Amino acid sequence: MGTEYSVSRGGHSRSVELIADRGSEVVVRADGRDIVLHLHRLPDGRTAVRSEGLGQLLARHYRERGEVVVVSGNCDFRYEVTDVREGWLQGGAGGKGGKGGHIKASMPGRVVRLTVQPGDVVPEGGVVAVLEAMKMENDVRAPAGGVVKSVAVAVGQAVETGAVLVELEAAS
Amino acid sequence: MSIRPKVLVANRGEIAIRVMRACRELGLGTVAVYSDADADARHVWFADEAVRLGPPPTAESYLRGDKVIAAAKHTGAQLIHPGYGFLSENAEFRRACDAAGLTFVGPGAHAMEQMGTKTLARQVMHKAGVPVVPGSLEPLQNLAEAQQIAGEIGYPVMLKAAAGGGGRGIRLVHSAEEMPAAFDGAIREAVAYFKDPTVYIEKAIVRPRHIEIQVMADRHGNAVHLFDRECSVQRRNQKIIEESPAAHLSDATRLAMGQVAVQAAKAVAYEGAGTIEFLVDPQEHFFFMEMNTRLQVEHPVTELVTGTDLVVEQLRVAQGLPLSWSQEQIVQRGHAIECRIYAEDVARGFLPSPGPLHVYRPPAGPGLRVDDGFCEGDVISNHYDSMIAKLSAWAPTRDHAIARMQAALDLFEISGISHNIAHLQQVLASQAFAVGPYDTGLVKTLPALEAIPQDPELAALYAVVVAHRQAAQHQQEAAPQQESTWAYHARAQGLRGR
Repeated sequence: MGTEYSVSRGGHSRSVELIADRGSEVVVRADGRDIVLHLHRLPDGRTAVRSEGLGQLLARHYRERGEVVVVSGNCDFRYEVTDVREGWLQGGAGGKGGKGGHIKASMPGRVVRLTVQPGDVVPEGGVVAVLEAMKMENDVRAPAGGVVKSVAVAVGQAVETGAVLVELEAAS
Repeated sequence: MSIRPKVLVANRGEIAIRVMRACRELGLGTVAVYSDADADARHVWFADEAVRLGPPPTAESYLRGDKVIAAAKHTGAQLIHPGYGFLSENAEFRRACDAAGLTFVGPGAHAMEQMGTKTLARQVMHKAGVPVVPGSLEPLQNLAEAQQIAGEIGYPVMLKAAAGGGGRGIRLVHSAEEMPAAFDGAIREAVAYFKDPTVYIEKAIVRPRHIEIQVMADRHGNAVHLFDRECSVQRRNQKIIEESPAAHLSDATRLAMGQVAVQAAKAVAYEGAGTIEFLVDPQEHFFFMEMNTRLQVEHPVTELVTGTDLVVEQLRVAQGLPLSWSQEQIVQRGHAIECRIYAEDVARGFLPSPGPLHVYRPPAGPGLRVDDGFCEGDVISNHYDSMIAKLSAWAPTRDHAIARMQAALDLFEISGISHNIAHLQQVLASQAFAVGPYDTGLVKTLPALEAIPQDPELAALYAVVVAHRQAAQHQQEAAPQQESTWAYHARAQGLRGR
């Protein structure tokens, strides 16, 4: 009796059952077929993953914001892995952001300009603020049109990633 | 017994390490300087000794010439190498070094001022017989003047900060309507980044190529060029891929540009390493754009094709030695390409993406060179430039160099921040780059990258194994400890002993 997981990446989910973990050999069931994975940890910290018919992969992994990140060469693949039986999200959900009319800072930086004030109508893609980071001025744009409800920051203020800059409400 | 001379490197990141490497080869001591954000940075521990400058913002650390000079005095360093950026083109700092009896590795203050102020440079070059781009020879006084000159030379035009460089402080203005906002923006940026509100105007050359000539000069009146570098692959007006030689340039034009560059260097009694940047139009007419009075980011491609070490040469020349080579001794051999690896989100308009380098293992192999300043686990700070590393590839032919670069980029293990490797690979694979000719508009012609590239089946399955094992480990750790392992074994022993 294995453990069933849901693996999602980029909005697509699939089911993978882990049937047996015998250390250097792991049996999983995906798309109705049993797959034997041979795992071998290399001295440099990478893991070699091999399987008949699927070739081999040399990967590192780490966890970030509840996701499992698998790194192979210059590519990294981020997965949300959920234990289906327990409905338990491994490590918690990653923030979706952007919803609820909040326009947030997408990077740490300093507010150099605010181009809107409460009551202003902003079109989709309209610039609401300019953030300076890494010596570059970066426009912050509205992901959807709306009316500015409030401006949460001041010019000159330093902000972290995810900080709310401007709150929008739907135009009536 | 003579004391080993020391060089203070007034910079950070890859270029600080690059310079210190040359110092080590020459048997010179090295002194690093750092901000609080860089207290544990690689360049700090690469040096023989290190001095703190101040808090993370550059205005309080790497741009504080007075603190850099005090650090040199304190450690007994006789030479200061400024790298690129920061204090490297600051004539006032150069003068302060002279006054303090320190040797600045670079040109004299006068040459720096003439070339550093872009409007003055245009006048000096024009006088020396070097072709310049049509536009204002004097700084712009006001918006009305900008509008008038733009009207005369015709839109599109570029507004440029006179003290600018490195792609910063440049604005393209398509029409008269855009001018008022662009003029204000250009001045604001010029003040913010270069503390100098002077801006000037140039005609925007349509479909230009950006090709530059490396020069090297000593104080004995010798000046040579080390051929060309093509730097037309740019995003946000900043270079991302450079190559030497330029791929689709006739040898006649290449040589003419080299000769003009030497003429330009001599016109300002230049000393040390410098670069003359030209705009080249589709008919191979070339125009002086600016001179960078310092070492360039992309100097490795020149070193790879000419077999020279420009930093070693800079240090020799600064100590009063004559140039190591005559013009005839400098030849281009094979082809070299450099890719700049940036922490940026390509899909979101090349937005800087500071953050932790959870995985960082650059490739190695025949014909490859890596210039970097970070280790795995370091954080790319939002206080400084977002460049992580420069990867260069040399091969006997251009096609081979491209293939070598592609293979090396595949093997560049990196994760944690968003980076531009897939984008660099897209450029290298494009018809425009591979076959040419290409110009500075190349990047804009490429289709958007696939947002979510296909993952290998094994990666998804491996992720499940990782999650499964971590969950099992958590459960084990969370389970209440009945008794200690020692107590368990003691009890087992006791039972067995019965």
